[in-house]
Amino acid sequence: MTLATLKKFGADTNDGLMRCMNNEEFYLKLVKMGIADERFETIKPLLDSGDLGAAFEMAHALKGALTNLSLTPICEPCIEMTELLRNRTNMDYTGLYNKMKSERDRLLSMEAEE
Amino acid sequence: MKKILIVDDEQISLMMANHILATEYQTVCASSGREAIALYESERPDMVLSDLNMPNISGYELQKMMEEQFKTSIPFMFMTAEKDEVHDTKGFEQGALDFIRKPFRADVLLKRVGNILNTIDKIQGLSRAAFTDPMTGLLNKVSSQEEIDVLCRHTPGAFMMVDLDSFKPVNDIYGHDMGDKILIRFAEILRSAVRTSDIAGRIGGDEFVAYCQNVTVEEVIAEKAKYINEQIIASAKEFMGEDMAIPIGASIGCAFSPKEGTDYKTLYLKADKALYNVKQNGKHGYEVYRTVPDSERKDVQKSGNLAQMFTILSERNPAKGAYVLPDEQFRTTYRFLSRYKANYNRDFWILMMTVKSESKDEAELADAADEFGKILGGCLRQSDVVTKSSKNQFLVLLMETNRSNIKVIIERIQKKWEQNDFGKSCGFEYELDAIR
Repeated sequence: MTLATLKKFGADTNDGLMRCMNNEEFYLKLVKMGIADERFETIKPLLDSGDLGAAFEMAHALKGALTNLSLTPICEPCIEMTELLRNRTNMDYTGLYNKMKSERDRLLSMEAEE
Repeated sequence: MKKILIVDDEQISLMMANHILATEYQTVCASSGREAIALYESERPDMVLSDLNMPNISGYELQKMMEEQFKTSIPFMFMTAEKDEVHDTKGFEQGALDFIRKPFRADVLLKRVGNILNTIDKIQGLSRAAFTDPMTGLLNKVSSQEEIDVLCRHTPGAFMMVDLDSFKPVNDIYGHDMGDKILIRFAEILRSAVRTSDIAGRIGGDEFVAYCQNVTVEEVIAEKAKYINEQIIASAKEFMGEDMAIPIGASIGCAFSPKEGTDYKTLYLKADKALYNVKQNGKHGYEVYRTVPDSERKDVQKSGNLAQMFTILSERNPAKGAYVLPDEQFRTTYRFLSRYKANYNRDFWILMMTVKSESKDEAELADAADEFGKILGGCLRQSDVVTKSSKNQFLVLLMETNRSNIKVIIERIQKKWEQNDFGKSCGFEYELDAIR
């Protein structure tokens, strides 16, 4: 993973780097950890089964990690989903989940192409 | 370096906060409330930076649990992704010092943590100033009293009044800077003579108190008195030279708790009485206050055992020189001798000796009188009785002697007094008469 790839992906790398005291190596290490987070997978069955409380807790934690890293394209659907879950909005979350997951997968693909 | 405990169940946030704060502080990290409690116990950080929303134990719950467990107010700052101000209100009500919203900027986090630690430093500085004696760093009078009063109610121990002997001449001869050095060293010696779990304080110019937990035997007090005296004499010679002639030392009056009392005032009064006796008997030592238990008296009365009675009546470890008695006991002795003389017409004499100083320095006169009392006691016979009847006056009962012998005794006292440092600035007068 490089800063150039992240910029191309749409991440606010200046913001993310600043949170990491401009330590590029540390920032990129955290980004790799963030996009490998297993909660991208484990939240799906919670959403499907309608366990909105547990899904909220997971989405909230995921949102915290992603916003810290300023991975904007993945953050946006995650934030929207978190707010709906906070209000326990009973709806079909497939669209939002897929958007978040596909953005994460897009970044993984870009990393693989480096 | 200040130490911060960072608590967050979210690994990336935890690593990021640690990465930022580790640039200026020592950090320890916990990923759950349970882990944080264990780490707090072992690491004792200066503050806690905790995520608010954690599974099992929330940030608020963690603060409450830690403060209950460790019985102290712990500086907490919370990290939260919530924008709801209700959270802030609840946190501040619980005692949180600050909040920071995620995602946070590194410089903002450092500044806010820095502000908290500075504030804590200021508060701790003010607390120290309020509770301690600025010169020696020991507890001040009020704090000593309060802390000992709480401790002695439930913990057995030895209450000690420790008085620095002949401190006044240090100030007079070597100046107040030297006096301060001696006081500071004396406080260090006292601190080293007790354990960190004990209490030591300065309650006046050269008066100190200490409460030693679970010390209930006289031997320990004897050892401490010996150690304190050896150390202060060595220090005085170090500061003022080997030829220093000031009889500096320490006198200790001790009262054991709970035997003699379970509150500061009672123990203080008893230890003060014991201290008075040490001062009367030549200083540089200790005495443990003892109330003769009623049971002991009753047993003797019941048994009628004369051997036991001798044990109670006999003088323990009689000191050399005259028999030094408190004022009241001296009066009783006088009255008895008066009766004896009336029946058997013996030569009993009473001598009043008054220490005088041309200067109007009351403290100097008091120190001179103490010194005079030592010389007086040493020049008299064991069968003579002496008491300090006022701050600069002594009464002596002289047995089986005559005027010419008494004159020899007075000349001996005069000679010794002139050799003493105080003898240069203070004199004494006397009156002699037969007991009536």
